[in-house]
Amino acid sequence: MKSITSPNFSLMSTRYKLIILFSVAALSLVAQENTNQSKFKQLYEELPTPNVYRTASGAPGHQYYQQKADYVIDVELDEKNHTIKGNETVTYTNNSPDALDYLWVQLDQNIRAKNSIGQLTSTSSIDSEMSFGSIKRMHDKMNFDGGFKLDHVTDASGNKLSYTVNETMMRIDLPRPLRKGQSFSFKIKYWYNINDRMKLGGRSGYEYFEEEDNSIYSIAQFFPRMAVYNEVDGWQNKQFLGNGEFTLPFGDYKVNITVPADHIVAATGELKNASSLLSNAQRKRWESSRTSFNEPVIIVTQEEAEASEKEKSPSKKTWTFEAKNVRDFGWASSRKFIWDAMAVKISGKTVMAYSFYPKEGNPLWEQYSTRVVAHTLKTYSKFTTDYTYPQATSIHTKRIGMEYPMICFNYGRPEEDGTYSKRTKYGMIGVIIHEVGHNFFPMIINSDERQWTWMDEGLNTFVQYLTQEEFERGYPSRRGPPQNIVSYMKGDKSGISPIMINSESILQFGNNAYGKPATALNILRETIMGRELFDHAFKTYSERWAFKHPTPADFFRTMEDASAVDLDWFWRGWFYTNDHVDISLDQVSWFKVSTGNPEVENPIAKANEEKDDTYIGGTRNKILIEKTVDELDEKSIDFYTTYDPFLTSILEKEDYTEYIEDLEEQELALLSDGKNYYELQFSNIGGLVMPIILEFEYTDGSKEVVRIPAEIWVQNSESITKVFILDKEVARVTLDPLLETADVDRNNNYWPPRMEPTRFELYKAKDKSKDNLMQKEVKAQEREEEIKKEAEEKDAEEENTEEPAEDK
Amino acid sequence: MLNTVLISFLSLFISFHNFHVTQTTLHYNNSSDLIEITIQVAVQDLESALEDQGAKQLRIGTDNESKSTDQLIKDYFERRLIILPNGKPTHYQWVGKEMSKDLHDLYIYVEITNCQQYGKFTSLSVENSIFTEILSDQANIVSIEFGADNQKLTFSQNNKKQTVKLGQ
Repeated sequence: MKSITSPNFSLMSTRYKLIILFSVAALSLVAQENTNQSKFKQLYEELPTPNVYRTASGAPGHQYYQQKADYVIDVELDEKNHTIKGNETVTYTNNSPDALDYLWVQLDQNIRAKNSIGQLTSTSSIDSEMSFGSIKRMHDKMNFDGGFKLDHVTDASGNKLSYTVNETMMRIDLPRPLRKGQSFSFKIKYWYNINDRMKLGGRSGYEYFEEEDNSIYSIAQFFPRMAVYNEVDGWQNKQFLGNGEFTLPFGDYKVNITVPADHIVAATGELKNASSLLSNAQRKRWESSRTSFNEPVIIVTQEEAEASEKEKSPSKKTWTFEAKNVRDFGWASSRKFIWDAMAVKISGKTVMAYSFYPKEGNPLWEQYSTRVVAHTLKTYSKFTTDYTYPQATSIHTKRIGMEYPMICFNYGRPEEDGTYSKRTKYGMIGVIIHEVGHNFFPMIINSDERQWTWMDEGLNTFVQYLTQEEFERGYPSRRGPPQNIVSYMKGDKSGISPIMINSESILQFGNNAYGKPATALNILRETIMGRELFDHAFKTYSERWAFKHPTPADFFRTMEDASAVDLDWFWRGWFYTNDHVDISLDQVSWFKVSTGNPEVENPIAKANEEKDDTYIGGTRNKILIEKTVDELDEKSIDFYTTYDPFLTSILEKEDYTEYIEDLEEQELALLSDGKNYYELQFSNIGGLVMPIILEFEYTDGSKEVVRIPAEIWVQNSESITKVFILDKEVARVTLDPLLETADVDRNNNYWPPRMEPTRFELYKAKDKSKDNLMQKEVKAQEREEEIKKEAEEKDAEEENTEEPAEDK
Repeated sequence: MLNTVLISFLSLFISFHNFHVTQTTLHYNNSSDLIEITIQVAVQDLESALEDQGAKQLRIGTDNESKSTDQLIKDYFERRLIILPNGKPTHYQWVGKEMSKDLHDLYIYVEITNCQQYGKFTSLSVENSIFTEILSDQANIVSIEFGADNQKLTFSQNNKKQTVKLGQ
């Protein structure tokens, strides 16, 4: 751009003239320290060095490997004593280049053992006002005899193996090193007491229905499971303390589940022996559900379930399930179960959506559960990777939401009279979307939950938000929209950890690992990358890492590699710090280009001076002082009395003509185009650099949104100025007008400055009529009826009084 | 007095996708001489806490809400969120409550009137033990907005009382 020889800007509010340069005129204040502290510094030090297993592009490398663990498990439920007895054969295949001397197996049930590491390390205190219930729960928890009881650990031929249990982890010493490509089989016989979920809590357990002496069992972590071995952590054998969930290798499962003969069982995988378990009618219904794409078909009816509830079969039946390429296995069993099913098409293949629930779940569950499962599979398949498992199941479990491959446990129970609140309804739909969504993160895109909660919860909560938006317009979504994370991000920093932190160290778990990453991804999608680039990159990550084990670096790198957007500054700010967004619009200055023509500028300058002179005394004196001395007495007049500085002299005119003659055509055009120059000053109070989004509202009432990428902060992340050249005069400027950056203080986002009312003020100002919506609706209906009735009566009257028409 | 009990306790109400944080704003409104208090809590946790004390199914925020709900809520917070300007005790005036748009949280509005009686604010003590009697992982965040004094505090089961200086 050619420089302008003499750009002469005048600030309209005063007569002060100044010269400025035509660019972001800000001095760099960085480099206080002698190292690179830039918020845009690349993440070379934070991310691991790429290697043959994981590339710099974020894809699996050419020597990527993962281990395999196949299981054959016989498990039996003892309903009377609430115990599980198991016998498993695990076949472990070493695909790593390393020879292994021992294997690590996870014994998650041991977190419930007396004096377990989980119990000992959970902090606690006594409240002055504890209820009897609270104290009883403390006792129940301490007295529960949980944990795996191991009968034996042997090799495939029954020879005892040497093993060591360290809390929730068990090391099995191998007779000889297991080399690359070799497999080793071992057997474990065990049993454990199942926890009463309603008394002791837990991701699995049973809910007891006292009146009818029945239970719903939701069973998981029910067998010793292989730990993950890879080039990232070696063995991932970090103890299970309660928050950091699970890290598991893929494998094939065959599980034989023996339960009372009148139970209905749901599980990971496909049922292989339905003919000996279900009635002919039930199997026919199941068959017909396989082609029912729009409506669930009830396979076990409420009548059948209620009949089963009334008696207890003394005999047992074994349900056999098989699952391929899954990282875990869960199941549920009860004679209370109603079962419905619906078919879903995913990329031309049919997948089944199932729900199992007791009569207590109706009418809500019959209407929504399976439909929501189907919707979730479709939406997630669109945004991530195709759902290739044969089915997905939603189980009704009061109070909890918890996920396993192809099966999840979800809350949402109506009142005893069958009514339910709006909160129950949307809570249930939300939790089903979330838990079914976990099939993708982490069951298929198999991240390390023990280390990184956000990699499954955050990504899943983000897609949950997209899925809810597609379920219903105006869905009461919680996590996703930027303004919903503001109250968390502006909070006390001592209570906020960065997202990149181990699962057990997270403060404010829900906001940190679910809400903030979901919001961050939503901001990337809507504001920083745009939907097209984001959706492609996000899908690329999902497809690259489907049925593999990704790490944070693989995610960060893929999002950049597939989009050509440098996001290191975003990951650094949003994932590695607990900074927040607070950008302040500090000042707006308005300039117009001076034409330099004295005949144009002098009258403007005069008008401005007169406009400024509006002191009330002066205005009054103009009228009330009839004559001043100089007006009365000619002798008091001299040169200065009559001199008008705004009159254009011949010398000024000649100067101007000379000036104009020197200018080129383009420069002349600039002088006469009448544009408005606005210089805006911003400061970054919160710390996070973000795009600057501005809405200019012009004096003619029209509006325009201008978007500036975050890189405007690249040389100075604390304060910047920026000039905007606009045709029209600006009346108002709003920073972040569409609420897309999670700016925590909106009071500094307006010019002219404006304070936003607090929530308290808004509530106080609101009309708080006592009517609730349903009562209002009833009243409205009654009124409509009344009007209709009146109209009918009137019609009837008119008909009666009407003369009989002649041509009828 | 027996004071050496140490009990390991995880909550009954643990739900793997429900986490326990409340947000309270204490805003001094100079023109009306009020401390305006906005408390944001998860409805489910509030119901659990009140029911733990013997209240029967409250159904907060629904059409069938129990009539005594507002009084129970006010009583609960008067015991569990104690505001002491210059160390002096206060009482709440009930303003109202409303559900959040996402149906997850309840906003509770109460105020402390005639604050001049406490004299020029030099300190503010806050005792916050909201839900700590039922939830061991409870975190309670308080934002203090007294004119130019903006401070943020975090309370937990092990940290229930804090005092800040004002007007420094």
